[in-house]
Amino acid sequence: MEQLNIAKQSIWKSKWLILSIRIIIGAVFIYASIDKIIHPDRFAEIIMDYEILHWNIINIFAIWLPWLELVVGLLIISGIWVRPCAFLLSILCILFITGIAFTLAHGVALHCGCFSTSSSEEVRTWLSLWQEGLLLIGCIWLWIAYMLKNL
Amino acid sequence: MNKKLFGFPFILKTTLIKDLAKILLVLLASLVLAIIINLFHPMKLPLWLGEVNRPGIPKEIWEKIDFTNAKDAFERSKAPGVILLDVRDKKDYLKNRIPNAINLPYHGFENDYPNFAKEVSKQQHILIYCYGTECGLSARVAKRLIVLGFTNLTVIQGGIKAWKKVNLPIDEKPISENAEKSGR
Repeated sequence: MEQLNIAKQSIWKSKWLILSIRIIIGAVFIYASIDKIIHPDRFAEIIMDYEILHWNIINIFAIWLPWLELVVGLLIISGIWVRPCAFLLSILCILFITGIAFTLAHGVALHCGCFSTSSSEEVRTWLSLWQEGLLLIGCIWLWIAYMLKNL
Repeated sequence: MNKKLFGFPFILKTTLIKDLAKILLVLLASLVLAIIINLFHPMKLPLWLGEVNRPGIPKEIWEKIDFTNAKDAFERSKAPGVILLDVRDKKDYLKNRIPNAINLPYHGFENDYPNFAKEVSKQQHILIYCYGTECGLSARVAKRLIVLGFTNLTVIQGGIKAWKKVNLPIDEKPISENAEKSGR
């Protein structure tokens, strides 16, 4: 049992694994933010299609979220405040998954707007949620790994 | 101090509080950065909608879009060189449309725009319509066309629904996708 605990903890504390996940997660969010920063107007249209937020706050959300993704992505890659950033990204992933699932459940065909603001992007389906799921797992992993690191 | 959760050590309360403070700082910093950059952005969005009725449309572009009702649009469409533009999904356009309207679906705009640009000059008067009152696709396509240099755009308020409501003519002859492409 003791050896099992040691093995479990060494996975969580593997420097190379943590570094790889950090770089991947950070890079994904930085990449995701770029098109939305360039085209905040199109991102606002996509948010409107979700029919979740009140129309009056859509613009500010469309302006803010991409910059949040960029800042957090850069912090994670740089190794600064990784634990709180990973926690924040986990919450964002949960919100994205919930938002997409809510809209799909209501039968609304939508473009995610996750990585592109193009109106020619493929419509999301339930199966395509695996991408967000994988991201969420990565963020939670990172959070737990950094929690253990400080103990 | 040595509390465990599923065999893993559990985080201390003070660390969580510190993390929360850092999260709030990141949220605030990114918000301030976003607002400042938006002031200088070419597609500057109004933070408060006010006069601009649609999210995602900069005020300068909104002021360039003309709006009219179905009856007035019908009269305007009789003038030579005026284009009726249907921005609904292709499958809906193929089922029925305003007579002589051409299709440039919002979903797929980037793919279909090159063909549209070959047929229509940027100075032509274009009357744009979509599904109905709540449909914002007309304004969205108008915005894209303005950015691409089109100067004379009018959105038909209420879309094809309003057109039908005032008993204006509708072309309900189904077209196949092949016939629609070859007709261009």
